[in-house]
Amino acid sequence: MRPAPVLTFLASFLALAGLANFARAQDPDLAALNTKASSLDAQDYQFVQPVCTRCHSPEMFLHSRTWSGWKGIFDQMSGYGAAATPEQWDHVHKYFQHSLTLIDVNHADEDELSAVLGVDEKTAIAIVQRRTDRPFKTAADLEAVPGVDKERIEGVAPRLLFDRLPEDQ
Amino acid sequence: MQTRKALMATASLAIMACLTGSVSAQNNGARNAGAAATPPAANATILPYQSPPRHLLYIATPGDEGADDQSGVVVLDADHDYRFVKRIPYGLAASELPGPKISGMTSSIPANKIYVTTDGGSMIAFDLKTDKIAWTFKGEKTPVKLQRRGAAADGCCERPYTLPGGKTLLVASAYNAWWYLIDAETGKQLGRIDTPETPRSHNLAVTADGKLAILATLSGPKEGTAGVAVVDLPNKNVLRYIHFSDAVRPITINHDGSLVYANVNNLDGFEIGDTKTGKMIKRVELPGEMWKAKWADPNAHHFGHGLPSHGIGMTPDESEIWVTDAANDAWQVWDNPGDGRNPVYNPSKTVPIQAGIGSSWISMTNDGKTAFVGDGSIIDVRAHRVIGTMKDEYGRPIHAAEKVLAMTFRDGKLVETSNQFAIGDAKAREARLSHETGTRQASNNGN
Repeated sequence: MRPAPVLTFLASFLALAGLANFARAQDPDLAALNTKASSLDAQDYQFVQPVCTRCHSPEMFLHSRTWSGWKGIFDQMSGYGAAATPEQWDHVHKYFQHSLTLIDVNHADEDELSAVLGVDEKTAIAIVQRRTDRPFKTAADLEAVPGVDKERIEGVAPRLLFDRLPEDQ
Repeated sequence: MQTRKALMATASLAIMACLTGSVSAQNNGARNAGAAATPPAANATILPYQSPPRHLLYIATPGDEGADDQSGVVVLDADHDYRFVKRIPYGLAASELPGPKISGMTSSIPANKIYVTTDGGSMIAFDLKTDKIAWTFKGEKTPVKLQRRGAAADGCCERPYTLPGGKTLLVASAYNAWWYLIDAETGKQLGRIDTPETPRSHNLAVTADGKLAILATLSGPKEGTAGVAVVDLPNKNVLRYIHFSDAVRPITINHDGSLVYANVNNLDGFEIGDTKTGKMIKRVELPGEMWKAKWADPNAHHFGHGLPSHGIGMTPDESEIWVTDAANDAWQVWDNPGDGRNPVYNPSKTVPIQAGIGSSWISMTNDGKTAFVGDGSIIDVRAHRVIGTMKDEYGRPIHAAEKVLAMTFRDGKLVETSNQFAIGDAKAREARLSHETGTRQASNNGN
């Protein structure tokens, strides 16, 4: 009876696994990603963390999608067990809409325009009215609508789309 | 022995390191971000996996004028700019196309079916999983008295309505003095409601609790009849009748069915009836200079159903009443403050439509964001702008699109459906009132 080889193997395996986890916890890249993710909207990111980053690195979501694309992801994650209260989901949605959502300026509805562009309902309605007469072509067109915050538009400019979105978005 | 102890100690340390690391990995996001994360609530439910919802628009054709060169149920994709998806045929021989005009459309979530009623004397159920005809309901076994040109001799069928719960359909006979109750799954007749004082059954609306039905007749004072019957639905009992100034046409009701808003013949506007007292309480006209001379001009042709306003609906939150205006080729909007008894015409919200077509119906999505009107226009309700047109597989506009349902599917199963009638909704109304109260308070507080 010689247990030593078995114990040696077990000890090595567990040591490696433990070290890998420990290393992950201390990963400077991960910390930097969290800092980056938090910098987009620190308040709402607090709610993203227990829902999203308990399983995923921020690297998984630090990119832009359409709002319908994000909703599909949330549905999928819910199916895999992501759990949150309605209040937490509200904040998670707000974080993604505010910071990571592509917006089809000439087709999005008023609620999506409000959430992504940070405008009130009245301004969102004015945007829809304006585009039915003349579709928007540039961020400057959008900034010309009364009630639209120019700084905010400059901030979201890379996520503004003025043509139809590709199907896979 | 010492070797074994050393190995055991190493293993224990490794296990501890692993567990510590694992815990750190689950929380590192919060710690690294330097903020205290809110943990998920203990009672948060884990939802089962669901495929993304699919939003489709079902349009039953041919339309009311019968000259729209359409047949079958046209399905459009609301998630992709209302592009054409498919056409569900009625299974008619070529010589029978386009088939009788469609008089109404409804759907049932538990039965996973849609239902179309026709002037041809039938109500047809389609299984939404297969798009095949599931059953066909015919009216009476012996011919009935014909009350209108084109009505079927079996007395079937005018507008249908799915009762709360989705298991029973309430369906108008073809302009006769009764209404059918039909099993949504099987098509079997469950009962009948007689309304002798409103003898030409046509339009209807039912409250969300299923207690009250407002059943309208295509008749009025000229025929010596009332306009609508107010019915205690669980007991199939007419509580009272309401008389209007002329024959009643399309109707809508508020959230609890206490008020009915009705288009009537010879009026550009509508009248309001109080279903608790059985009285017509108000006549609401578009300003006379906008329509009376036009309507009286014998040389003018107005498209529609032979009256200035054939089409009425309200936003689910009851903040607006939309009424079609054939004299001006437009949808006119009344703001509807307070208890809904004193609507105020708001010309800044008028939605012009294409002239020469007629727009004689309105349906809305359940969230009240989008309206579908009879000329085939798709309207952004809050912006009061036409944002699209219903088109078929050939790119032709679908005019006379009066029977429209906006439905949501998951995994091929119907999970949400709109109603052919745009009526008030208690929750939406409550949310609006709450929002208005909050805004007023913020304003009073100087915010």
